Amino acid sequence: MTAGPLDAELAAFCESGVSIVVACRGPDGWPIVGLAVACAADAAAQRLRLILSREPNRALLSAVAQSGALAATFSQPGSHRSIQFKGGALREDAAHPDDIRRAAEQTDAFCRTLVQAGYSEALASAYCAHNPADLATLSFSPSDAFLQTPGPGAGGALPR
Amino acid sequence: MSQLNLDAIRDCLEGFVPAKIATCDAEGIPNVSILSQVHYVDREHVALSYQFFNKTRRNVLATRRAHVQVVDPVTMAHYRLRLAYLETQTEGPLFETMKARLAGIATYDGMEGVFRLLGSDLYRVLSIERVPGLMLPAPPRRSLLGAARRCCARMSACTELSDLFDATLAELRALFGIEHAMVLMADAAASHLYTVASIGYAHSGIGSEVAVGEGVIGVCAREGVPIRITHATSEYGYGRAVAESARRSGMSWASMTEIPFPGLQQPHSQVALPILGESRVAGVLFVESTRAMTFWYDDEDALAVIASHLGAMMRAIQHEEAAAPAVAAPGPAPEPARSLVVRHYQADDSIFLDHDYLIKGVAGAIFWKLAREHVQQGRTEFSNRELRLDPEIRLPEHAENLEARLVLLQRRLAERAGCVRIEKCGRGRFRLEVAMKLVLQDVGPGSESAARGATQPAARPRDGSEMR
Repeated sequence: MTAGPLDAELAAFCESGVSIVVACRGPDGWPIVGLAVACAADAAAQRLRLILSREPNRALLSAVAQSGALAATFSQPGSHRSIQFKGGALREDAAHPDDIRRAAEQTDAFCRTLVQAGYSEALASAYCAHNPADLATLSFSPSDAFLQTPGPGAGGALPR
Repeated sequence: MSQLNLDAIRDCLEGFVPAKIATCDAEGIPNVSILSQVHYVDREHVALSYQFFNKTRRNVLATRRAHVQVVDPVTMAHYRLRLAYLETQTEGPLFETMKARLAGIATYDGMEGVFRLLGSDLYRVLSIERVPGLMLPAPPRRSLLGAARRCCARMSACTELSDLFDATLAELRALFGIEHAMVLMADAAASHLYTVASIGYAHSGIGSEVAVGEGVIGVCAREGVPIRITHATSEYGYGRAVAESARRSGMSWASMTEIPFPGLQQPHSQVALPILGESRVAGVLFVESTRAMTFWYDDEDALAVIASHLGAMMRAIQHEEAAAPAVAAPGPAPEPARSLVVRHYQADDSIFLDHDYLIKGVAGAIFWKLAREHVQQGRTEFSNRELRLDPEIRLPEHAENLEARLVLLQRRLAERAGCVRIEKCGRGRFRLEVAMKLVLQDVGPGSESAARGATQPAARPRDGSEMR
């Protein structure tokens, strides 16, 4: 088992259907922000596999190969629990059938959370909409994790 | 700037869908987090809320670069903004506007007491990019511009201040569907605002006061900028303002002279807009709703136009009324059979009619002069001009809202539905209509504490005898 910040509980949180925001550094030095729709988290391998739509994240996907570092924040509306992972060893890949299934399951769960948080069904569905044929994956090995839930302790590093 | 400008995507900045922000440190390591508030400043600038000294902030100070993703709450279209950090403001209108809005967002997010604005980080928007993806059709928009135009035209037809206030609120209801609104005038000397007109409340609250700097209305008056909250927040509730004002003036006296503020018990959306006088905030136009997310950026713009026109019309009407000639004293009127005790407390010019509180401050001093001259000289007709020139009334230096105080007094008397009324009888002139014999009691500052209880016997008049 590889050492790192990703434990079984965090892995389950990352796969539970939450908001996933991603960032890397672009070739011109500016940050690039993007959204992922789902995640496969492997605590044993200390590997996070983000599933994201290719078309809206074209600039980010083309930049990660050069940048070498990635940040991904997982947030749960309602509880505001928010965890950021940072790491490298990036690899872009095509989405497999398992990834497509995960994307469907996790966006369904996220959509239900948004409705509970006050979104209408139509708005929540639109927010979670994605084209399965357009999905790609971006894997990385998190070297650090940070608590980002607003309040005291926000920004603190989680144990590795 | 790209073709897509900030004005076109202002709805994204309402705080309904949290924004996301990416930054890098000096070594290029990225950081990404959720952002509570992206505030529209103008066509080329936004301000982000600085609440915690976190990694995002350290990165911004180091590189001055941020990439932000926002979402339209109606169409769910996503946009990305490339932002260049300029400066941080920790006080002033932008800061106060954002502070109030953040308080509303915090309530909506269940983060009251956690979200606290430390600064407003100002950024120039370098580019805006529409993110490819699903976009819901936008429903047809109301024509706020057309409604504002019609409202202003109706206001322009008013020749009296009282009508102007009523017409403005009536048009807000008819043209904008605003059910709860009020107009408050500033008493700069006393650092408070007093209500002169309202619609949509169980009690009109005419004469009720709000301290400058307290709540949505008070902060708007202090900063001279619109304050808009899309979700209810106790931090800006008026309960505090009322309690504070009561505490300052002493609870027992306050409970007798406090006119309850008419605002909604559970407001969810509120906008306060400054009514500008010649060189200062002359008052506040305030609207509220029981529904969240009722007033958006475009509503704020339309209401700001109306508040501005209200200020211009107030000045025009007041100048005309001030120029009207003085009125000669007529002969004494026939003596009515029943009597009414008018008690005046010199300490704060508060007036009680029998045992009922009427008004205090400048409006109280005005009423006392009218009542005295009516009793002593039999006068019934007065001019605004003579009040303006009367040294006993002690008008503040900026006396342009004398007419507003007359409206206040007129309405307090009308609400009492009693035997004393004020009616306009020409431009800059009015008539005191008295259906009872007035018995005047003037209470000096030294005897106020003994005399103040409403159930206490009336204090001995200053000159030792009842004036008639």
